[in-house]
Amino acid sequence: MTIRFSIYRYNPENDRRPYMQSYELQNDCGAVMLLDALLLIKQQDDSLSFRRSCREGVCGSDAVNINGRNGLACITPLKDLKQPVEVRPLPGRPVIRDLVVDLSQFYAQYRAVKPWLINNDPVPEIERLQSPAERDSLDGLYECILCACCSTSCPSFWWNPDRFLGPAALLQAWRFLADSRDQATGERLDDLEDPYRLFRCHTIMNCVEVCPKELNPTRAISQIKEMLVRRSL
Amino acid sequence: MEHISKRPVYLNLFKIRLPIGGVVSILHRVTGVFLVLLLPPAIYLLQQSLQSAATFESTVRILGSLPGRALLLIVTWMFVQHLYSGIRHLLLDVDIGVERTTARRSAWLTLVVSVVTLLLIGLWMT
Amino acid sequence: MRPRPTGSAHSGLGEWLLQRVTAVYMGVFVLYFVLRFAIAPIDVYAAWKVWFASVAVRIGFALFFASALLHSWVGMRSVFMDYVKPMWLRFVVQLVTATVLLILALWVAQILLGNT
Repeated sequence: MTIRFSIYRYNPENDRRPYMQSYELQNDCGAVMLLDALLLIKQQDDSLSFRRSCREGVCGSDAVNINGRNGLACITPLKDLKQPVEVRPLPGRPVIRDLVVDLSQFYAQYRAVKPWLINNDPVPEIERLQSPAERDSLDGLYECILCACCSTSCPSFWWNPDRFLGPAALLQAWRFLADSRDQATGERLDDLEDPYRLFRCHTIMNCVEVCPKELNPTRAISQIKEMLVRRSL
Repeated sequence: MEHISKRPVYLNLFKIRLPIGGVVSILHRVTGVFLVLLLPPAIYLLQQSLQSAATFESTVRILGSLPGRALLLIVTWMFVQHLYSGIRHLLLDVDIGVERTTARRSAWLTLVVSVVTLLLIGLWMT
Repeated sequence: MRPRPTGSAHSGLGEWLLQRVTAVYMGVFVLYFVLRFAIAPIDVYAAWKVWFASVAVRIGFALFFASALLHSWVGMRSVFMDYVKPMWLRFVVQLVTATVLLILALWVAQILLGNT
């Protein structure tokens, strides 16, 4: 018995267009997660390229499209997958080679929300204190690993990746709006109030479907909208 | 940077699995566009129904005929599907049912309830 | 070439809110309309005319069509913003849509203000 795979291949130096290549592994090859299998396949064919690092769902490097759904190869159990396991690059991003995509646009949108604390008070001697409740409001926001599963599953991001910030960046925008130590709420909201940057989100919720950390960008986006409504009504 | 634009982009919508929330969302959009296109005929029918007794009768006759009823059922389905998915979106906006499992269920619910509504209207029309 | 960031347009919230407010009104109106006709159907012209002669009914209809047309505008604009990429084409389709919706508004006004 074998496990069958069909993997998206593209080498810009040799291939005019991408194609799907079949691979097989023995059932007793020892692979538990999809990433294990990809590493074994790479032993068969070392021209196969993909990103990976921590192999335990923390670094967010090995996000790929698995049987039509975005996810991290390292925490996707092989036994749950229908065969042949179809592995493709993250949708909507330029393919550099095989499963490796160019995420610079994604990172640019992340940078655009100023994902850092803005506080103009003099730096305190010890730390900027938060009450336990204030700290709790950041749960479900700070855990994002920027794997890009959400933004590359979002149709609004497919059509307007240059103008719509996308779920990952918007989750971080809310993470700093929600932070009691941040003092740039007004400027942040000004920057977000835009028909494209924020309002391309149509609560499709594909982002929530695929997030490997089970975060909820849709809720974060709703909270940004609510803050905007409160500010203008 | 020039060569980047020549890179392939994987975006095969037949291979990417659209979750049920996405299905309901695109249905909301498609039915919405159709409903906009139906505005002129709807306004025309309203005008005809008000013009005179004769035009009122013919409007009622057209809507009551077999093709008229069939068309009316299709339009009704589009309307209720748009209405229910719209209500779902409004609830999501006010932070009701934003969890993954609840959002999936409510998406299915809009599909089921629209069909049930349609069946009830169909029964009532016969 | 990467597009230069152009900052925020400081708009979008109004349309987003309008879409929701008009939706709620249309929902309430349709519910009333359906219940009204389920309880007491009107199938003769004279009765339909009498019902429609009421100022309240006409205002109800006027608000309904105003909502429907505004809702259509925001919705169609959103569709174009998502899918229509060339700026000139987007401008043309938005202009055509706005014009058609405006004509429909005038037509509805003519029906509702008519001394029928």
